[in-house]
Amino acid sequence: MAGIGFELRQHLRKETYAGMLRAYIVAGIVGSGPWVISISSMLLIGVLAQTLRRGPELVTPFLATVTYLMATSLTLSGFLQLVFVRFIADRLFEKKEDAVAPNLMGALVVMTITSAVIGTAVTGLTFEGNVPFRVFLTIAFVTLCDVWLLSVLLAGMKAYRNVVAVFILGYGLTVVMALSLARFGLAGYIAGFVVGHAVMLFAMLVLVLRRYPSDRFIAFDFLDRKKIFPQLALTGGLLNAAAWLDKVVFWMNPVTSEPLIGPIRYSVVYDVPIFVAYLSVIPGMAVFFVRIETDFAEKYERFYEAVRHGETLDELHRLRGELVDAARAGIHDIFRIQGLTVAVLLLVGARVLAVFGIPAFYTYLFNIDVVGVGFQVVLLAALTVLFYLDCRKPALFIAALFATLNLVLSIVTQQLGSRFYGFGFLVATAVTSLVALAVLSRKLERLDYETFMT
Amino acid sequence: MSRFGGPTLAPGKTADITLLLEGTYPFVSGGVSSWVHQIICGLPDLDFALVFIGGAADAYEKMRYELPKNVVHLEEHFLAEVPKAQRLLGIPGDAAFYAKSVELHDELASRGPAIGRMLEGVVGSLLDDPARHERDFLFSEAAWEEVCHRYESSSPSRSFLEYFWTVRSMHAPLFKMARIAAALPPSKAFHVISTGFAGFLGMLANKKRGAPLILTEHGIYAKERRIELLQASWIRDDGDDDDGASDLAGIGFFRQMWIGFFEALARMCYAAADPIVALYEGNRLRQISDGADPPRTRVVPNGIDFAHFDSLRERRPSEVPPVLGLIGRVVPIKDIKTFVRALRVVVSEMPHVEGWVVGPDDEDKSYAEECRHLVKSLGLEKNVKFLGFRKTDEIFPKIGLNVLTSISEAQPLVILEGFAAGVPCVSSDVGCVRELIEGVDEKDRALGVGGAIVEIASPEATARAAMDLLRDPVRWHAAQAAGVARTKQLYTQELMLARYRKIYEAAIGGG
Repeated sequence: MAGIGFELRQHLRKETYAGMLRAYIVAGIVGSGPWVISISSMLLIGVLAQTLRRGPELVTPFLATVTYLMATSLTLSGFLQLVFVRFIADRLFEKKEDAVAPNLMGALVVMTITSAVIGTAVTGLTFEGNVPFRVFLTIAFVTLCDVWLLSVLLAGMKAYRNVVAVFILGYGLTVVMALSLARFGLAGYIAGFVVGHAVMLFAMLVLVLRRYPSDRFIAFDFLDRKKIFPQLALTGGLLNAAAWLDKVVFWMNPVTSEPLIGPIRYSVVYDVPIFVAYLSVIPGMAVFFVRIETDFAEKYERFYEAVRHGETLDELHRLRGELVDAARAGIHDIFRIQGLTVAVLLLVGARVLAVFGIPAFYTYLFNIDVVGVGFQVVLLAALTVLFYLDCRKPALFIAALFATLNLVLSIVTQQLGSRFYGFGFLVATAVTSLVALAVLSRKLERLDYETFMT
Repeated sequence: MSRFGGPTLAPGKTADITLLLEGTYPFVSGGVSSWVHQIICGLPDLDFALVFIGGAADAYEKMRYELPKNVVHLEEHFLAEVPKAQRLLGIPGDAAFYAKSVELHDELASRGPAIGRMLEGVVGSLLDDPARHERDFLFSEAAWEEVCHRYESSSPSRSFLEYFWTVRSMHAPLFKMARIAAALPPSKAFHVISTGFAGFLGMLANKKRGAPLILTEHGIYAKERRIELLQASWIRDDGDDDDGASDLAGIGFFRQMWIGFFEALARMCYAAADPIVALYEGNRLRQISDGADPPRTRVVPNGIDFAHFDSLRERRPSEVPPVLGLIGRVVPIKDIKTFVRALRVVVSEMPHVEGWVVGPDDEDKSYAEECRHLVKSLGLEKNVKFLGFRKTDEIFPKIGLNVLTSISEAQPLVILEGFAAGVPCVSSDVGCVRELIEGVDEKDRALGVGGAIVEIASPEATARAAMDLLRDPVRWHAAQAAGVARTKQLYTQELMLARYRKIYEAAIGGG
């Protein structure tokens, strides 16, 4: 008979749904925000330095320097973070666990070389004098870049307890070392910072290597275009940069800032309130993560299991409903808890600032920042869920929107005068988080359609 | 256009006939392909364009025929080569189109009479922009809702994943056909050699160009697909019979979907084709019961180059050779084992009789092995020979009877060739074998009986019929004469070509 063979159906059937699972390990990233903990610890150093009288005049320069280190290292490593963690997640999904360790070594090498070149160039060209300070600054930068890469990987591996333990160890050490080396001036502070972070770096490295042993020492598969999503590099970089752009705007404007060392400027009026405000994310994030890790993750698994195992459409609708409910409940929890936190801080803000030895006239900006930071938590939560659902394009769009708004609005409010400081950040986080929620809501509503129509 | 080095129609030219060929000529050899070659060579004054539809490109190594000079165009399309569409979610889709498509699907499912009219609405839009419709089908919300809706109303308790991909896999090739139809070579008429995907393409070509569509079916495509689908292991509906109600005759739901799909393709092709040609009356009736409009149907049997066989008859020895020949591939559908068992019966009474199996045995190696084993276990090593592929010209003068034990055939050319070469035939009662051996109408029957008809899978009856002929020279010669006469009068190439010339000329308006 005339007629072609039927092997063609085999070509058409794609088991794409398995791919959905790979995304979810990435989710750990956005919310992990270990840098929030870092900043808080730095504030602790400031407070202790004041009370213990260990080089109190150096506290402001130290905090400003560390802030720059955080901002630049997070942004630089951001370009690799998401791409790399997604790459690892895909390998783990393929059960190629022995690919983790060598590629991590490769990524660390790439990160170290890149950050060392950039760090050396910057400290070499834009700073003068005080060579030990510049050397430690460069080392601190490189160490931080590596630390972010590792912490994100550990968070992606769901090793939250380990990450927290390592951070407590590292920051405890950082505080102790920085204060005891304070007599060597700013270089001593930074040296203490380096020691603490270096210990963190190696502790995390040991954790990863122990969990994923491998025969190979080093590999660079994560640079293979076919195995990664280059778009994620942009998303990661933008997302990290976006969170700093309002600060950068205030650092760069001579009206709102003062020069410190080399290119480092700091903004007394802007920096201090916002970093204290960042402490307020902890309750909202904690609650959200409990939700995501238990309820949502479980519902998510169940939905895709059902898809792959050929459940009826009715059942899929029901499971999608449960998934949507879980996501909604998580977001609602944030609104509740974060809302409560914000309300309390608005009432007692001045007293909180006093704890950190910050004058009461910062309260006004602090209040604005607290609300803005609250929205940022909502934004991070929405992004986390979007990464779960493998919505890479919307995530990039949201990151770009956040960066643009934060930059443009901060410049605008700065021009409007000191009464408006902080509103740029507030409006940027508010608008972006609401957009993110809208995108997320639409994605969840159409989850079955988008899952199948690939 | 052709990656196998075929010609391309010069710009501004129009082919007389475009043949739409699914999985056959010129890349696959076999009965249908030989027939296509015969038609093209036999009508040298007509220009032919060939559009080949294959599965995966790597399944076809080279052309199996040297293309005649009047083939002016060849293009190949492979269903496995689906261009990767950019995923584009969130497009609403053409709701009006899907409303019409729903109507058509319902009409096809209920075997209604209005298919032709409904096709106009759907196909017109489809052909206007196949790429957009393909994208809509893959990604649009309208398509999604339609799939969900159909699922809910047909099989809400079954795997949605399976349903969804079954629907997708079925329709994907149809959009490919629409793309092909949009770029077909200009042609005065289209001639499709099967229903199925090529038949769907033929329907599209007919709607797109307004040129007539001729359909010739050798087997009945939808029926053969059905047999294939009933055995297919890739359809996952094992244990599907929980609710039994919708499963006729224990056929799983997804199997039924596929069977229904090919039946629907056939109906759509029948709705567009005129004439609808069958090889013999039985198949013509089958086409009608599958939805073909009776006035459009007709029968054009195969024909052979009778003159070629004159010399073979002259080369025959005066005595009837005590040899039973089975000319065909060593595959289960030819039921070689029944032939071997029949030989066992014959040899026990006529020990000098031999049985020759003439045909390639590499298609189904394990079956061939089983056959050899059977020969051994029946102690027939001296009598039964597997000759492999041979030229039939060498074989016919040396055999006394042409034996066919097939469990399925349409109009076996080997019977006609055997008749022309002066060899009577003993065959199982399949396809139109009875018409060939005993005749169709009164006038035909008056020519005599060209051998004997026996039941399928019946070694005893086959052996009896063969021995009766071998032992009775008068009967044998009468059968020979009947075979020769019948072939010469009714099944010559000239007759077949004249009939197709008439069909073609009617289609292209006198050429």
